[in-house]
Amino acid sequence: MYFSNLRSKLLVGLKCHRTLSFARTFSSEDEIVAQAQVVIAGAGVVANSVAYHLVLNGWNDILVLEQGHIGSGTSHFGSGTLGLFKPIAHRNIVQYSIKLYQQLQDMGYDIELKQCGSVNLAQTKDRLIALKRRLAYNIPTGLHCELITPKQLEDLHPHLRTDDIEGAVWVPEDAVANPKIICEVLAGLAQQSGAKYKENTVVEEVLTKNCYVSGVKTDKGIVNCEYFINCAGMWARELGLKCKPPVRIPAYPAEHFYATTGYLGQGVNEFLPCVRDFDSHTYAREYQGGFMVGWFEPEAKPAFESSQVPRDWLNHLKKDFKRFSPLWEKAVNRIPILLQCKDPELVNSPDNFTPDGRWILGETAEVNNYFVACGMNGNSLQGAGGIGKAVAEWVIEGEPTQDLLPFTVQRFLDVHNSRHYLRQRTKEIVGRHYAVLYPHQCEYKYARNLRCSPLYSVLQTRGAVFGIRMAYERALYFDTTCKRGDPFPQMPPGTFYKPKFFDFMKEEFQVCKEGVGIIDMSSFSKIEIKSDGLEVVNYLQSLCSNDIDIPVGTIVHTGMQNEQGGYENDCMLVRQSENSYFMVSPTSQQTRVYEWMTRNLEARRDSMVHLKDVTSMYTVINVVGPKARELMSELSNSDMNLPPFSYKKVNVGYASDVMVMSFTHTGEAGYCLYIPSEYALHIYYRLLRVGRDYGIRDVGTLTQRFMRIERFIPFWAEELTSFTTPFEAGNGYSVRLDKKHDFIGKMALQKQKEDGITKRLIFFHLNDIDPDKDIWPWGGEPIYRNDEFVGTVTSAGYGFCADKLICLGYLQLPNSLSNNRTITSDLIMSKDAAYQIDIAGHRFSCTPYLRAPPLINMTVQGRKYKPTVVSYKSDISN
Amino acid sequence: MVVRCPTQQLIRSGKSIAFCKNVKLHKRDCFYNFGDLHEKLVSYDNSSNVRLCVFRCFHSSREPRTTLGKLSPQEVDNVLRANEYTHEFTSGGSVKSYDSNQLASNNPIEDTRSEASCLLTTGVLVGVFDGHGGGACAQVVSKRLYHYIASCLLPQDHLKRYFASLETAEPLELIQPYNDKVQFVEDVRDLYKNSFVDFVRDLSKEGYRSGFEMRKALETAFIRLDDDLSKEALPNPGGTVNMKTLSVAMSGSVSCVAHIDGPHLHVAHVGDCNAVLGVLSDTNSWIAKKLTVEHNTYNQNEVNRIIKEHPYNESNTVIKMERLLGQLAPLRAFGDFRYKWSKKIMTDIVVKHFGENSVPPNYYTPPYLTAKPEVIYHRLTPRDKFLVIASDGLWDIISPLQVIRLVGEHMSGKVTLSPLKLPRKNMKLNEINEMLLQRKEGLKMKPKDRNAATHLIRNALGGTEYGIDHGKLSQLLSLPEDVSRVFRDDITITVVYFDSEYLRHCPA
Repeated sequence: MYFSNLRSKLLVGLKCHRTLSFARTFSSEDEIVAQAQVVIAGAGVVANSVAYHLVLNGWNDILVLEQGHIGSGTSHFGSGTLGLFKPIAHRNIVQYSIKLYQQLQDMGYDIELKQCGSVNLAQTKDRLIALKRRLAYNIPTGLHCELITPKQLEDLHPHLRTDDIEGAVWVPEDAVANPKIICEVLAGLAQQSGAKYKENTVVEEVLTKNCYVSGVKTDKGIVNCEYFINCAGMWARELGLKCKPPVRIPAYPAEHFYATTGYLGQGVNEFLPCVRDFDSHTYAREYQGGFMVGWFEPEAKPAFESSQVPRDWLNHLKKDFKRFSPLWEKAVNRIPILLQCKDPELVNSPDNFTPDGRWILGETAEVNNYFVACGMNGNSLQGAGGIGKAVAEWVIEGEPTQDLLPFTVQRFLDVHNSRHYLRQRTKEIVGRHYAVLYPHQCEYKYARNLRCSPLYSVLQTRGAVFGIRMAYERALYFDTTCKRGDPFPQMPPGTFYKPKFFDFMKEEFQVCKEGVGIIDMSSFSKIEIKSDGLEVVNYLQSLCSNDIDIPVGTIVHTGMQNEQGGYENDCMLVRQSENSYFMVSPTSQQTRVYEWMTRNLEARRDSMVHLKDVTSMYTVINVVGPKARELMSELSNSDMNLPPFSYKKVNVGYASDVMVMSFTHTGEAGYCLYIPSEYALHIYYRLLRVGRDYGIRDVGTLTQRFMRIERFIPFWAEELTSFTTPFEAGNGYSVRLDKKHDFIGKMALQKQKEDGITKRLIFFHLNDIDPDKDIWPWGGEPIYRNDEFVGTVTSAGYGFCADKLICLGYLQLPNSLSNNRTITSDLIMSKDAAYQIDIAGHRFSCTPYLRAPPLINMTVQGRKYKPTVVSYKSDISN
Repeated sequence: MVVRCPTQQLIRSGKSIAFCKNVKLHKRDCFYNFGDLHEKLVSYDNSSNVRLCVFRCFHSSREPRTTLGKLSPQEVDNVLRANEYTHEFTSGGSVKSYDSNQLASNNPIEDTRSEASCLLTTGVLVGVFDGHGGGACAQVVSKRLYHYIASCLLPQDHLKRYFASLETAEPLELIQPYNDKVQFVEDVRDLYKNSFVDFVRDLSKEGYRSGFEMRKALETAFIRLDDDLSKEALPNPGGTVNMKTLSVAMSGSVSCVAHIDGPHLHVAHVGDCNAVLGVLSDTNSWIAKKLTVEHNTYNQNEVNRIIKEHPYNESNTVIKMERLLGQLAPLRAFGDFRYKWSKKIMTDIVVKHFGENSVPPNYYTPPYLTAKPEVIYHRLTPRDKFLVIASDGLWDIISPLQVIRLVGEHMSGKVTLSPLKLPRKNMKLNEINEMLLQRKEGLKMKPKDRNAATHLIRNALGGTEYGIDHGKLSQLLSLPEDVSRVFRDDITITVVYFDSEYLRHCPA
């Protein structure tokens, strides 16, 4: 839509095949406008794309400030490859990028776009599984890609050595383009529509007023503005700190190499597909009759020794031939013709990498109207197009128009932004882009042990194997074979099959089912919400879709919705007194939910309500299992027969004021203990000591995850996102449209209730799959209904009770039934519907359930005794 | 005066007939002389201990026993350990092992014990049976009862299959008994087998029993066995009376049987044996949890029950002199049909064989006695370390808490001394110090017996503040037979040990 408009505007009077001939209408060196609606820092390809998309939407009061000149950062470097073969959220962005660049090419700009396709190689069986899993979800969602044999691979790319290849994936729509030209074309187009560019201007500080962006202080004067977008690439993090309050943008440059060979003879034609040889950490594309070869090395080096990224960064780069030569050998091994090149030209092209290897986008939690688009992780061109559109629309709409949850800048805490942390983490992030990422089994090596529960050291001696979320160390499972004095257990090598530590998980489950298990859940975000009067009730009523005006001493589970009815938070609210609540939200929400609540508090100008993040004040222990009640009664010397969803402050052992809440995150019987952290060890030891007689055992979060999946409890960021509503997720019970207060999203939910839903979260039991031999589902697998793609698995796990693998996923109307307006139970459960889930290329039949199937052997046997018959012994009767 | 039934050969051991002389019915003097003896001895001491002794000692044999001199420690050990038995379970249930022992006071002993594993269902049965009026009834009940219980535990379909297998050459085994050295002589064996087969047939005809209830199952087993004992004693259609079974019916037995399956402990209890749990508290001290309450006149509920079951005008006679009809101390028992049969049967049969006085005074509205057990359920926890079931011979001389402490300390290889009491007034401090030092030495000792039941008997009889007093022990063990019964009753003890690890991890 944008393109057609633009095209008609731009193509008037233009001949085909335009060259770059934009008038450089920059204002003179020392002048600067005093006011702009939007100021963008940086003029790299991302910044230009954001500017371009803003003007496309009619926002043209834009000032782009660049400390050097357009594209003088890392944007003019880079391989120029555009790879689509990625997880869906990534791919959607890249797909749009290619579409945009195609439009530019069609408009006549010679951006050297070639759809040469790409081949993605697997040297190992596990790599092939990883590729097949990607194939499985990319194909039904509209990407043309296919698995090819080494023979077909040779036909596509005759220069490849294929004898050690297990298989490969051919992605014909992958492309290459010239990043430098695109960067300039986008800048030119933005300027044409009114965006002003100011080069050689350094942003010294972002000015704020009441936590809103108010302007920008530059070396040439102050510019007042409403929005600020930080697209400063390598300098984004430092720029973020130049603000009151500082904004955290944890992206850090790492050295990143590629080499060009120059002309290598006629055999290297320009339509040779790009090669990604993940297992050799190598990619290669045709470049000027030869090759450009680059690497994502397993252990990279953070760039620049100095504490700041220098402006004359090009002078600070070292060409480290020692590091380079083994990598080059790997490339030669794959493409033997490279031997002809005696003197490859090595280029060190540092780029920003982020702590989890994902882009950093969106509005910051610290300052309103302060947006970020950076952290391109080695390939800015790939994301630039789509990111420009996504961020521009986010600025304009005030909220994302597509699912950008994986990329939000609010997924971080201050700890992520520390330079030391980033220099550590960056080392492994580069190589991780090409690593086989085993689900739940590829924890980071560096920058660990930052946020630890008070129980961390004890759990470690008890065999805990940790993983991190929000930099918080959480025990994933317990290796009970580990003895005191042994080295701490490590996670075994990852697998797509049954995890190698599965037996431990089984034991952990068993104890939650029959005895009592303890899970350290301290990482959960906790916020206290208080007011002097009852303002807090009205405030929370306006945020929550459930009725939160509950009696003191009780707990309510509620969502916080956005205007579309989608989730912004999924939490437990504990009413501690008439005018104070205690809120427990998922770990990864710590920054994001606080921002959401503060923003809505400001909107109400209800300064009487106080929010306080108390995450670190409490240690949280889940005591789970049928014996939990007796154990807690003994420990607290009081009757622990609490009604469900209520809470009580009790003394446990010698510790006072422990909040005991009668719910668990697994759906089993039990309690959540919120313990002032100084008592944590005391209570943990008491639990172990007294709990011995109840068969107590530590339980990890992975087991807990499987248990919640089997209970069909949807979870934040997997099932619950800004684009799913309570009705779709099966949480309709927690929506109170009849409460007298208006709440955010009520209209949308009301409408959805009347109209019906178009997607619905469904529980699947996988049939005919052998958990001991087959690849497991882990999330992301496509779901088919009568061979039509209808949805994607959001989370998957092993159901210990049913002894079956389980998938949760949203079902949408298949195309063949698109005349139905809504998706109904009848349609889902119809006898004619046969469901299959594709796991790495193999489709397994599965049985859908609208509600979790009853957990048969879960039903706790009553106190009543019944004799157990000994199985009939034939040797007696014979 | 004593009428014996020398032909009443009920039970036979593997090698020789062991009990042929043991079943005695003292036709006249036992019931006649009762009153006299009773009066005489009650005046001597009215503690319950002696009272019970009195009741029982009128059965004591007239055969004189040589009064032994002081026994050597080895001889004491031999006497104490003669009936030891230990069994360890390897099948991995909640019962780890048991120790058992008996010490006779009567000759022959009137107590029996029985332990078995159920084979068609999971679970272990352990029980103590204290006979009176001879050991016949206890012997018979202890050997037959577990079959009755085990078949009541079987679900309908399995019961049918079991019943069908009884017709075959190799029937299914219901139970695996331990320490079972005797068997019935052939003719009673067949009689008993027929009764049992009838019972299984009746049970399997009952149809599907929805909602199994352990209490009912145990009651059914107890009551039916008691009914069968009655039936077998009564003349067959031909009119002949089987003196063997009739003598069983004339004697009686109290019993305490525990069924243990995983964490589920059921105790079915008739009479005045007791089952006590040894519980280790979280402060590492031993707690005695008494599961049973004796069915005697001290048990007000029992007294009320009996009075209620009979017309108001009997309320002064039905319990008299702390006894049922002035005669029987336990208020529930197997056998003892002289308190159960109708007046007609009493006149036709009992009087015919045992004389007028065999009918209790004020015998108006029988039955006065029942074998219906009281069933107690306890869910075992890892703190429950062991269960002691013992006949009143033990409980008469030592308290449940002492018993539990003795076994508990025995478990951990330590000795327990009786609480310190100053032997006399006006002791000097250095005398007390002497005592304490002596006591300290005693505490260093390791228990002499590996078997906890033996350890209990040794301590019950010979325990002092300083340790075992050999002299006391030797004296008590070498009392002349007639006197023995005054000082101590038959003692039977079974200690069942639980597997705490199992109980920690067994499902809630």
